[in-house]
Amino acid sequence: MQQESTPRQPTNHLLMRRAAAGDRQAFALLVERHHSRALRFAYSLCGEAEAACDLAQEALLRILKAARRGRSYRPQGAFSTYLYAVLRNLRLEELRRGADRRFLPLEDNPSVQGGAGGGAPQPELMVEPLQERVLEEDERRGELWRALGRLPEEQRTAFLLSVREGLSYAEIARVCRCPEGTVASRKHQAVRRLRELLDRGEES
Amino acid sequence: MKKLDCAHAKRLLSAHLDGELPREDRRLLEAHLEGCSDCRAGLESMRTLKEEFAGLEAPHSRPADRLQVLEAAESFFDDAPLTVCRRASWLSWQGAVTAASLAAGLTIWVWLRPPATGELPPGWQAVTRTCLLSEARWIELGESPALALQDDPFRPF
Repeated sequence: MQQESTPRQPTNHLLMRRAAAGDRQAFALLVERHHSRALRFAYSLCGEAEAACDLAQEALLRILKAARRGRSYRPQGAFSTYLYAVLRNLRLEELRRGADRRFLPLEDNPSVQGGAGGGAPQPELMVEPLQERVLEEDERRGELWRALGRLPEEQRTAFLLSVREGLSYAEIARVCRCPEGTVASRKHQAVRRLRELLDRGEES
Repeated sequence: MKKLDCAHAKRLLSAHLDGELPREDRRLLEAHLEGCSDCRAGLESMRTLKEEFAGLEAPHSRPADRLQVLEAAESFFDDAPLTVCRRASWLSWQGAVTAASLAAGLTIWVWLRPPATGELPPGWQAVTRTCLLSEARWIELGESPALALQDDPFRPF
C-alpha cells in the first residue's frame, strides 16, 4: 500500500485540498505520484495500452473536477483507494455505454495475443523474439491476459486489486463497496476459475 | 480438536496466501496442510499463479502522458475557483434557517401578545371570530352548538 505521508513531503490529502483551491503544482505532484499506479490498474482493467492511458487521465481529471467543485473527496481511506474506485467506476461506465474498448483478449486483439510479440501490450515493452524461450514467455503472458479477460468483472477486479495492486481485503471492500467476505469469495472464485482456464489451455 | 477436510481447506487457501485468514482458521489450515500433500501442492500452484499475474508487465508512465493530463487539467483551473467550502456552506444554510425561525417566532409573538388595553390580541380575535362563525354556521344548519353565543365573553360582535 502506498505511504500517505513522508517527511518533508505533503500528504496526498493536503495536495488534494490545495488542488481543490486551484493550486496547479499540487495537482501536478499528485499526477506525478499516482499516474503510474493509475495506468497499471487501468491497463489491468481494459487490457489495451492506449485505452488504459485515456482511462488513467480521465480518472485523474474526474478527481480534480470533483475536488474543484467541493464534492466527492473525503479523506477517509488512502488516496489510492479512492483512485482505484474512480478508475473502476469509469471502466464500468464504459462497459455500460458499450464502448468498443472491451477487455477481452480476443483473438483479434493484437495487444494480448499469444505468440510472437503477443502479451507485450505496447511497443516499448515488446521483446524481440530471438529465442524460443522468449517466444514461450510471450505466449504464456498472452494466456494469462486471456484467462484474466474471461473472468466476470467483479472477480477480475478483486483479483487484480489483491494480486497486482497489493490491497488488503478491507481496502478492496472499500473500492468495490461490498463486504470483506464477498471480496474473499470473489478472490477465491477468481483463482479457481483462472486455474481451470489455464489448465485447460495447457492441455489443449 | 476440530479438523478441516480438503474441500474446506481449499476454500481457505487463497485467503491464506493473502494473509487474510483469521487466526483460528489459519491454525486449522496449517494443521491440515502438514498432513495433506494434495492441498500443499494446491497452495504451491496458487502461489505460482499469483506470482505470474503479479509479474505481468504494464505500460510505463511516460512524462508525455503526465504532461497531457496536466494540459487537459488546465480547463479546470482557467475559470474562477469553483471550490465551495462545505463547512461554510453548511453554516450559511444553518444560519438562514435560524434567522427565518426567529423572524417567524417574532411575528407570531407580536400577533398573539396581549395589548395594553386589555382587549384580546389581534391573533386571538381572529381565532375566536373564526370559531364563532363556525358555530353560527352550525346553528344555521340546525346543529347543536357547543357554546351559547350571547353569553360568550369572547364574542367580538
